[in-house]
Amino acid sequence: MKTSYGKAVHAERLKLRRSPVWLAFIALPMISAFFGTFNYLNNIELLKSEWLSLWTQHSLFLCYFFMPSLIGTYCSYLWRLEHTRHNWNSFLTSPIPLSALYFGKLTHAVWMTVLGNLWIFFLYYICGRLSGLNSPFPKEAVSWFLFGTVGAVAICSVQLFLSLIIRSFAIPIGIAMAGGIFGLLVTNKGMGLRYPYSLYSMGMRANNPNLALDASAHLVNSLTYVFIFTALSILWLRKHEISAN
Amino acid sequence: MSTQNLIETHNLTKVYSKVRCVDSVNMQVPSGTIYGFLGPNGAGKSTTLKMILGLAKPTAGNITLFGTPVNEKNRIKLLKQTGSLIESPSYYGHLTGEENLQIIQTLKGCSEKDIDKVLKIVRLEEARKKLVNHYSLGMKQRLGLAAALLGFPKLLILDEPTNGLDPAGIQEMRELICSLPSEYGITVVVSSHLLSEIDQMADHVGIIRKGELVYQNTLESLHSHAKQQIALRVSHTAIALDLLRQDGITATQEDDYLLLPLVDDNYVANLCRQLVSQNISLYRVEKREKSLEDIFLSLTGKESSL
Amino acid sequence: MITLQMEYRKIKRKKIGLTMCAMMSIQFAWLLWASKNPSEKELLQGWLYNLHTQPLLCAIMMPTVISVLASRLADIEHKGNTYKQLKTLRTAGALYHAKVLCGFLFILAMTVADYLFLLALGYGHGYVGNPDLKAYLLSFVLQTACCLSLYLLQLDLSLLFFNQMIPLVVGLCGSMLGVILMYLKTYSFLPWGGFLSSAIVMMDWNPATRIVTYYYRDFSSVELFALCMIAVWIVLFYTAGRILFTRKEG
Repeated sequence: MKTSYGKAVHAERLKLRRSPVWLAFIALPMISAFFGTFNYLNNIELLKSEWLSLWTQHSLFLCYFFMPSLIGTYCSYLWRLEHTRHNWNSFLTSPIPLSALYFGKLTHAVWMTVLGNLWIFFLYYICGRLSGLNSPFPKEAVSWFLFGTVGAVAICSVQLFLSLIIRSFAIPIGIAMAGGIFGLLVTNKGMGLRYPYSLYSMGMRANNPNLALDASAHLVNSLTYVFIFTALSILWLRKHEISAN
Repeated sequence: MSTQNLIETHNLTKVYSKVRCVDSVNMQVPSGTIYGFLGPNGAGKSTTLKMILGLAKPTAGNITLFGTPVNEKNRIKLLKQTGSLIESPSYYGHLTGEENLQIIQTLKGCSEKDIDKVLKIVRLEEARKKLVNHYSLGMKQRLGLAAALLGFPKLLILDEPTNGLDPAGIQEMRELICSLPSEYGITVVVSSHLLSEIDQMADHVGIIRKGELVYQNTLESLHSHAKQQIALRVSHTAIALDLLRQDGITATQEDDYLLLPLVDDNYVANLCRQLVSQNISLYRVEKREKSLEDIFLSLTGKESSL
Repeated sequence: MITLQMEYRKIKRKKIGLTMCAMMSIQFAWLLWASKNPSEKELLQGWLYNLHTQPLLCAIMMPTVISVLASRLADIEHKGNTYKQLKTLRTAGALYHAKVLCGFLFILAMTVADYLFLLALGYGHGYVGNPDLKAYLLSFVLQTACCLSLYLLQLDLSLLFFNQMIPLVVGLCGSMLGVILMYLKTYSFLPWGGFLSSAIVMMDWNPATRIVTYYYRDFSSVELFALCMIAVWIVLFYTAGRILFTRKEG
């Protein structure tokens, strides 16, 4: 006997069949890695910190501009399944608590983000070795991955909320892109930990592998954002009369 | 509260931007019946059904399903026993019909075998591996019904299920719906804006007009309103009544008229002869006809489109 | 004309204008931030600096901004399933043309806002001298053309696929390529390279003295050819879209 949550996750997985949306999570980091490595090799006389220098080249644009938008795209896709073809009627009359239905969506968004992040680090490792870096792979990368992923979950919950309340597919993605770029400014002003779109790039130590991250603040703030936007989404599902089409 | 009724609403009201779309509706759907919910487009049928399903929240009034009040706490328990098809069918176009049903089956937590059963019932077995995007509208509608049937719920709510179907499809859908109470013990609420359709399916009827439930009873009783009658106006009503009683015919008095059931021409001729022979003046002999259509129109208001 | 009006009526209350404004303001904020506290040397070269930076920002942002715009305009039809109904009212060609025109007017508005902002930025910072209006006008025209070529591509994709994730990811990848091409400092035949291959002011950075010098570019024949590609893309994407839209069913 499956729990409601288990049923919701399984149902979401069934919905995602036959749509190779994960390809985007493969392609975009590849472009970024390819270009980052290319740039690293071209400027090797300036970039002397080996793995750390390579990471700056890999992570900068990906973490600020593209992962937030990509996560936004995926979240928009998850809700678009319900926003089209009158699916709200069927979605909301399934005998499953609305919170479980929401967590079904969040689980898939987070799952895809984790896989995407793993892929980014895999590419980093491969590109490093191919560029002839023989020194050991930096141990800090584990922390980058973990905090990056936690930050990404915060973005997932914000974007899921936006794509839930905005029926347009594209507008939440525009917001994600604007949010990511704005994060560059916010981080520069030293307020990155307070801003959801910066939590990812800061966790990943994008462009700045030596950043001393305030780990507890990062975790607390990320989880606070997850909590707030999850609550908002579930509240919206409960209180707002969503009509099909 | 009667336990006979599967659905009961009490003064159910829904106000959208100051318009009372559903106004104090007291709906009573007896268990094991097909309840035809009839009304012109925009009369409040969908809104009422949506409130029963929890898709819309009542402005006032309350609803009980299976004797249990509809609220946030009971939502899941009630939805488990309910299947529905509201407005247009819901579907994921990039998946096959079977995959669509698997999603609903997972969420409902019913047996996988049900998928085969419902596909057979709606006769979509051959199209099960086809993408729903390539289905015709009728097939999508049948898929929607199949999804509603999954788990064989006690209550099925179908909102305009024949919308967009061709005549053969309508006939098929009708036969299917008619078989549900007897074969699976399912109580069906089916809405339509076509009287003829409800007439052929339902055994109970509710008629809604501008948000108000203007009629609710068995279909039979609606039909009895529709009987053809002979109306008679004579100078001595009492004598005529007596004559009729002797012939075993019960007539009722309405204004100056005597109303008797539709009798054959010979009897009318004989009656007239008898009345005249007894020196009673015969002013009017009319055939009065009130069709189901007339009743429906008078209940829903002629100005509304059908 | 009627078809275009129909198009505008359809997007009423869709807040497309608002979305575009929001995205533009991010671009403005970025530019403002990048040009803050100019030195004397920077003030001297300010007007040239503007024309150098603008295409870079466009290369990064515009592919995504435009994919959002195109998806928004096309998705109305997917969601309403209105193709069949519309085609009984107008020819498919006219409908496609109206969609193109409708989006183009948005693009034009954004580009005009861009250049007005550049002028305001220059006078606000007190750049030395006056802007070379001819160069600004040329740059404006080239940017509009680039945006149009990308818009046509995105519109075609958004109309072709029900799944809007595809065109949006193409837009994101386009932005990514914009960044890459920016670093490679080269012309490109790809549609996303148009902004940079049409940049009329180049930058020279001397690593030894760390002095930045801006100068008007002397287009080589290969670069001119890359410039012509923008026109080729416009014609190609327009024709392809018109044919696709005419053949589309349901």
